[in-house]
Amino acid sequence: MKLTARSEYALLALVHLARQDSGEVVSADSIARAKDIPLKFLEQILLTLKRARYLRSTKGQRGGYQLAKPAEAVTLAEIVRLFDGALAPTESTSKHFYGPSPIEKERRLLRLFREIRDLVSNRLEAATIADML
Amino acid sequence: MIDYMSPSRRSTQEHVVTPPTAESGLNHNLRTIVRQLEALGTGITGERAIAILACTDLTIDDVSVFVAAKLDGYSRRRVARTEAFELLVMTWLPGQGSGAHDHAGSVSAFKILRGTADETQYAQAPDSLVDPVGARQLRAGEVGIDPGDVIHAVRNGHEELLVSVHLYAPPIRELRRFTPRSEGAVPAHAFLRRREAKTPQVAIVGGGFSGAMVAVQLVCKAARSGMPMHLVMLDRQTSIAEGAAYRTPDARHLLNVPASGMSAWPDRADDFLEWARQRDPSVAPYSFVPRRTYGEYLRTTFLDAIAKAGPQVSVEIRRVEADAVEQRGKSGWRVHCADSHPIEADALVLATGHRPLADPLSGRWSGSRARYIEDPWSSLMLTAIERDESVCLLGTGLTAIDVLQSLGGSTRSAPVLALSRRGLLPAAHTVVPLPRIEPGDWLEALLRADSEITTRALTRNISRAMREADLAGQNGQQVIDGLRPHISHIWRALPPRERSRFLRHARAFWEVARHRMAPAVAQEVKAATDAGVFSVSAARILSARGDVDGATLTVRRRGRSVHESHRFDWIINCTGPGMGRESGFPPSVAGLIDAKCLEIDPDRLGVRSTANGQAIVDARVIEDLLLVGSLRKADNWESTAVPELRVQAALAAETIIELLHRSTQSSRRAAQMGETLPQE
Repeated sequence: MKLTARSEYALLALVHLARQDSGEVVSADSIARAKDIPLKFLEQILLTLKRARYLRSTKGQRGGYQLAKPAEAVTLAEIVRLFDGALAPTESTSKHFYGPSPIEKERRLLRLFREIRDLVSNRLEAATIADML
Repeated sequence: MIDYMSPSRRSTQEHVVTPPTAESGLNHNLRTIVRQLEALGTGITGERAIAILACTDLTIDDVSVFVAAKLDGYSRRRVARTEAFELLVMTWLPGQGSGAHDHAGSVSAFKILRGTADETQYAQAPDSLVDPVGARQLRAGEVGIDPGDVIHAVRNGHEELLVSVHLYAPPIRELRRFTPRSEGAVPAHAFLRRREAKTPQVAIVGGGFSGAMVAVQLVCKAARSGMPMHLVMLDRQTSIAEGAAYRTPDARHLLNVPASGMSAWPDRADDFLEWARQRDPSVAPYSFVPRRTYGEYLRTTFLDAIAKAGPQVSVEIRRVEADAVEQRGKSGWRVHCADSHPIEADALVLATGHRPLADPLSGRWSGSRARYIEDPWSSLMLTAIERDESVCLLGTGLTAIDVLQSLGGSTRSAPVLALSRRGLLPAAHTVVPLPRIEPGDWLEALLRADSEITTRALTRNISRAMREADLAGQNGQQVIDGLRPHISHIWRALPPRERSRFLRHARAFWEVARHRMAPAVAQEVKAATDAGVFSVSAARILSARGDVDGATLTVRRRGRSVHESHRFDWIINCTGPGMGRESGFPPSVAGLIDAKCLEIDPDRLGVRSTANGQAIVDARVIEDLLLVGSLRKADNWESTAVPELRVQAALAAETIIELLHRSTQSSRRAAQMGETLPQE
């Protein structure tokens, strides 16, 4: 797993939105300023989150975004997978994005990296946006 | 008999002329043109075509019934078609254009009836891209001619509607597309260098993904090692690297693998994802990107790598098919191509890609083939089909799904029926990625068993695991995905007769489970089905009879004994790439099989190869003959997808570099020994 800025900004945005009062709509500009995220980059990220149904948006002068799911129902794992793909250290140990890779030729190596994958995956699947508040 | 022909077609023949007798629906001027063309038979030259179009006082009113603007691209409406010519009316909205293309050798003449056409002419460069070499504008009343080998693009760059009439002689079977060079870019030096004498030469037969990535890997490894090399790539297609799989210009044709799995490099997992994101930031690891975008990625990857080639490397692309290959003494190969001198290769790579399409109606078709499209990827043929014309697709796999989309999907007014023996459609990828379910102990037990693994035991266990997954609220696809790492072991463990059994009884089920539709494509298929436009049937085709207006199929549905007849406006072969006994091999491969330089497997899936892709014949390794891609299916089963092919390409390149290095050292030693021997 290697988190890029996309995942990091997405998590920051989700945590920021989760801290707002229920029903409050927050503009992209406001999130960008609060978290020091480049606005254009953030807009793409928010659009991806909206398309994946994690966010709702409203248009207009007072428009913006709000969570579409409860914060406790959104795990860190699914957000990282959405933006950066596999949590696993190698393609061949990924459960969601499998691809062949050289270490498959050695069972013990494969087992070790699977254990690392499980550690990371279990931890991120157990952590929700609500836990980060 | 069930008549699937659209109601309008049964009553009149408005737009489709049945040459040479039926000219009803055409006015005087069009009739005159058609008669004059028919009278010339196969003797239509450019000059004669120009004369006919220029002398006939054809106006926009004469062709009004054929003028039909489309929002998704310029329209082509057929006026008349025979074996010798095709006459079309094209309508171009402002901004619409054709892209760079040629006419595959057909004479082309056209007349502008309304508006102004901007034409750009191109010449192809050594790197397969095209550069503009001229431009002209043609206005209403003007005629133009393009001899068969001109590459051009036509565009309506004005605010008025453009209407033109076009004559092709003979009818164009395939619209060959070319890629214009970006402004300011120049061909890489490696394409412009001539081969130095005695520089080792590597011939790569096939310029799709496999051939292109072998070339890329060779150039990279040669740069690191300083190995001098001349690469010759042979492919009759117009644009290198895309191959048949990624050549489609239709943006509706999506990859059936998520973006995260499509890197062309075995050691750069996110290469394609990052490249795609630079163009469209919304692309995510689980996005299913248009195949034409992937084709662009491959072309860019290829050209960028060649641009970085060291000064000791030169590359040549020849737009020809390799007709025959022969061994050259103790080592090396001689590759024969039409219209070209033979290539003397020190190493040969066969990366010929998908095999020729099988003909599912071989021996069972009678009458005219005018309404039978044998190869849907000859892109012009699909554009001749109107949305109110009924279609039968032979095959229900991913090719049929592509064609359904190209035909308009749920927006059609006439039905599309897809037929195959089992009537199985590809499964759909889930909307979000799901974790794979590792196979249980049953797989290890099967592979370890004292008795041979059987197809029956394998399929029984897989079916049970899928049922269990469904019962547990999971998805059977997760079981299939869980098998992916083990497929090569399973295939190698299956004895030959069990492999044959798998191919006969289980392959169809495996293919639809393993090779799936993108979620968005699956939604379109559902929409077309719900709209009553698309349906699937399990049936065997007993016979087909065609005429110039359509074809009648006689079929027997699965599980029934009754024969049924169905009539369609069009029949399209969607059985996909050939496999096994149904299909032949390209000429270069077939010749090597006959010469016993390649050994075919009993099921004719491919030819035998070592782990790094060298050919094996009677257990003897042919070191300088490398195979990449579907030819290796015999020993690998999974040998058509990018994750496997990128590794094969890298291994083949590594093997060739070592081979050439050894050969160079051996030559040097021989030369030194020659110098030190006392002179007689």
